[in-house]
Formats: sequence, C-alpha cells, structure tokens
Amino acid sequence: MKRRRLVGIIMIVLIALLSLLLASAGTAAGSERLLSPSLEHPAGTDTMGRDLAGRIAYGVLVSFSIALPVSVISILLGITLSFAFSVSGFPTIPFLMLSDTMKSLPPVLLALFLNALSGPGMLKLIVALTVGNVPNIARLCHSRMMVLRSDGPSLAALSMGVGRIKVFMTHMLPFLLPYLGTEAVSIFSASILTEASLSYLGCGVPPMIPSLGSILAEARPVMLSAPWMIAFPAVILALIGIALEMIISGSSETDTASH
Amino acid sequence: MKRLIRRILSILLTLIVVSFAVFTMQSFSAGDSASYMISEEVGGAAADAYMKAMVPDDPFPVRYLSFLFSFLTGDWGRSVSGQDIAELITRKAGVTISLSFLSILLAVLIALPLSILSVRYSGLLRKAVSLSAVLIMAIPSFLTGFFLIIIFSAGLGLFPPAGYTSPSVSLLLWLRSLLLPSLTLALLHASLMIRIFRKALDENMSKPFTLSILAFGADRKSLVTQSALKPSLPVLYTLIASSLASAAAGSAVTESVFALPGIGSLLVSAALSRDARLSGIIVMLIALAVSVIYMLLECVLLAADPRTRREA
Repeated sequence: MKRRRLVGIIMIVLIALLSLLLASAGTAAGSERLLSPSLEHPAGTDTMGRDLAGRIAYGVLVSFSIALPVSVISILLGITLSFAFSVSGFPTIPFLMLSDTMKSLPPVLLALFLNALSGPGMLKLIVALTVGNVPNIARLCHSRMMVLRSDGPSLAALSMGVGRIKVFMTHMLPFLLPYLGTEAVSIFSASILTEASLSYLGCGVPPMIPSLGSILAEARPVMLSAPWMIAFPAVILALIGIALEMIISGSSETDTASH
Repeated sequence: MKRLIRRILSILLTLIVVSFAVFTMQSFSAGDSASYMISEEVGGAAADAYMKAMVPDDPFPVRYLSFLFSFLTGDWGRSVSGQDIAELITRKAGVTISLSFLSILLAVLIALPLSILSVRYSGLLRKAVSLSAVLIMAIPSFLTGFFLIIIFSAGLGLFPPAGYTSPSVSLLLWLRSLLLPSLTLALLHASLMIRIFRKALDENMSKPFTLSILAFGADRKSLVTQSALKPSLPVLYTLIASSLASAAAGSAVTESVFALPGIGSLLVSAALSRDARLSGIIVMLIALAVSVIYMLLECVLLAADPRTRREA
C-alpha cells in the first residue's frame, strides 16, 4: 500500500518536472499545420502549427497551478473549521446546514455563473473550485471532530486545564491531518478534471493561455484526421488521474470510500 | 417525520442562500456587465442607463425581496438576446431532464450487475471492473464522449455524432440522438456507483447476519444477492440521488460535446455571452432541483430502511 502511494507521488513529480522542461505556448506557423508526431514535434502540431508537446506541458502546469492552491486552501479551511468545531460555543449545526445548502451549487455551475458575470479568469476559477468543496470539507471535519473531541487524551488534557489551542494542536490535529491530506489529493484530482472541462467549454482559464481543456476543444473538429491532438492530452490526463488515485488508495490510514 | 421537515426547511434555506448569493454577486458585478454590454463609443450615458435598468435605486433589501418574488412567480425577464427566459427554459428543460434520467437508468443497469458479479466472482473480473472504473474517473467526461463518438459513430456508424431529434418527430431517432450522451454520463456515474456500492456489498458480506447463514452451510456466491444486497440498497439510492444531482451540472459539458439544445448548453452559452440574468435564473433553478432531489432521497431512504426511522 505504501509502495503504491510512493509510485503515485513519483509519477506526479515526474510529470510536473517534464512539463517544466517542455512547456512553451508555441508560435503559430501556418505552414506546419496538423503535422503528425515526429522527432521534431514529438506530439505533432495543432491547427495553428504550434508544437503540441510544449502546449500540453504548459497546460499541465496551468492545471497544477490551479489545483494546488485549491487543495492547499481547502486543507487550511479544514483546519480552521475543525478548530471552530472543537470550541463548544460554536454554532455547529446551523453552520453545517448553511454549508450543506452549497452542496446544490457544484463547482462547474458556480464557475459558469461567475464567468457570465465577469468573464474567464484564473483567480475566479480557484474561488469557484474552492467554494464548491466547502460542504464536503465541513462534513468531513465535523465527523472527525465528533470522534476526536470525546477522545480520552483530549478530554483529560482539557480537564487538567490545558488551553484549547494546545489541546487542538497536540491531541486532535495530528489525527485529523491524514484525512485532510487524502481529501486534499482527491480535491486536487477533481479540480484538474473540472478545470479541463471548463476550459473545454471556453469558461475556464482565459483563452490565450494554453490548457488541456482548450487543446482538446481545438481538437474536437479534427479529431478523426488528427487523432494525436486528442490522444496525447488524454493520455496525460489519464496518467495524472491514475497517479492521484494511487496516492489516495495507497494512503491506508484513512478510509477514502466512506465519505 | 422530523427528518422530512428538516429537509423541507433545507430546501427553503437553499433557496434563500442561493438566491441571495446570486443577487449579491449580480449587483456587485453590474458595472462589469454594463461596460461589457455597452461599448465605450456609445458613452457613459448608455452604460448608466443600463446600470439603472439592472440595479434600480431602491435600498438593497427591497431590491432583493422583489428579485426573490419575481423569481418565485416565474417572472424571469428577458435574456441578453431578447428572448423570454421562462419560455427558453421550458423549451429546453425536456432535453436535460430526459438526458439525466436516461443516464441514471443506464448507470444502474451497468453498475448493479457488475458490482454483484464482481463480489460473487472476485478475481480477474473484479480487477478488470475496478481498472476500467478508475480509468473512466481519471479522464474528464467530455473525453469519454470523444471516445464514444470515435467508436460508435465514426467507427461503427451506429449513432449520430452530435445533434438532437425531437421525440415528436421520431421516437426512435430521439432515443438514438440521446443514447451516446447518456452513455457518456452513465459511464461516469456507474464508475462511482461500482466503487462505493461494491464496498457496501463487501461490508455486508462480512456482517454477522451473513456470516451466520454462511456457518449454516449456505453457498457464499448466492449470499451476495440473498443476504448482502438488501442492506446495501440504501447506499445505492444515495448514489443515484447524488448522480442525479451532479447530472444537472455534468450535462453542461455533455450537452456541449454532443450539441444538444438543453439547459446545460444554454448555461454555457449564457456564460459565454455574459448573460448575468439568464445564468442566475438557471443556477437558482438547478440548485432548487438538486435540493428537491435530496428531499426525495430522504423519503426513499425512510421508506426503504427501517433503521433510519427509529432515530426520529
């Protein structure tokens, strides 16, 4: 199990490093439209004659730079919420009811709405993806804190007059982090898919920035005559997804399918 | 009963929270849409007039209440291109609703037998099912759609690659035009269902009630359907509801890939043409539909699982 997680992490790091090396937005060259893969263009060229390998690598970096902040903010949010849940005066039930109402606003919907208000943008995408995850994070933290709050060590420490923050840091947070970590990886994975879908629709990252979704949108009309335009981004997306899935299922401390 | 009342209250709460969020964001970005809609050459006066039309001078709470009231009474106004929004949505809702239900139906037809079979005959079949589920969940659904188009319409020529035929023209052509998009969504739903439903089956296979029948000498394979299936069904119902809820948003992508004239592609075109009002109405309608779906789920769970009734 541990080994599976390690393989997943190595795959992700390799993909990220390779993308850093190869990434380029490419220059349009009218004479080199839709060339099939060759030594010079390992993934062929696109409808405007740009090198596809460089654009795919750029797209991977864009995906990562959106999914990473979303996951990090989600973890921080989870820690803050958990601390709030551990304070006895916090209105937990009303808060959960309020956050549950956001369950009916999935990230795609929210992102499309924000897009209708003021156009595409990276920051807006990050906001939409993060806000869409709040109900799940809140539920997860709540169910963990219900257990941790009535656990022996934290009750003992509290009764001996140890401060709330200290009890939270030493007796709750270490047991919470593995769950939040696993959740963050699945949020990372979901964010990459959602970003690709939104960019495919033209409502994700701004059109001048290459992204996996917009490359695939350009590939849609020529997918039968230039199958490499679909094949390469698809393989990369699948590899990223499988690597992340290996990390999630390899994290044996937590039960990922239970929520 | 208590749980049902809480659900109904949560529909109201959802309506209030979502409409308030939509309204606030619309008011804050009104300047943005105004400058986008009215080009600079026309001048500030026209933009101001547009702003006035979008945001009247009344105080905030009054404007919010009238916004909520006109949403509830179906007075939804006109889209940017001047069409009546209510008429637009009722015309397109049928496509999305039939797409959603057809995809759930297909998903259950795929997931239920595969889950049961892979618990019965664990081994190669189970591994193959898991692997394909992971693969389908690893790529975005529009790519699944691409592959289905390549295989079934370009390769085998069985289905049209895109477009929609109204059921009033021909029921068969209608089904044919909806089958590939539904399958695209269904594969995604089915992968999730298999993963979680199969886990529930596994758990119920090692519960005391199953183990004791097993100890009496029953066949392990037949116990999957005889003993583990029924207590696992509530999990499946929950999965169906959450798939149905996500189908509303998922249809945005699928409908665009297959060029279906539904709510999803309407929302995408509203987003692309910066139609704040139309997209706001659609978002509120979908949020409302999703919370109604969750309430229906609660009713089904109460009816199907006696254990949930005891707590109330």
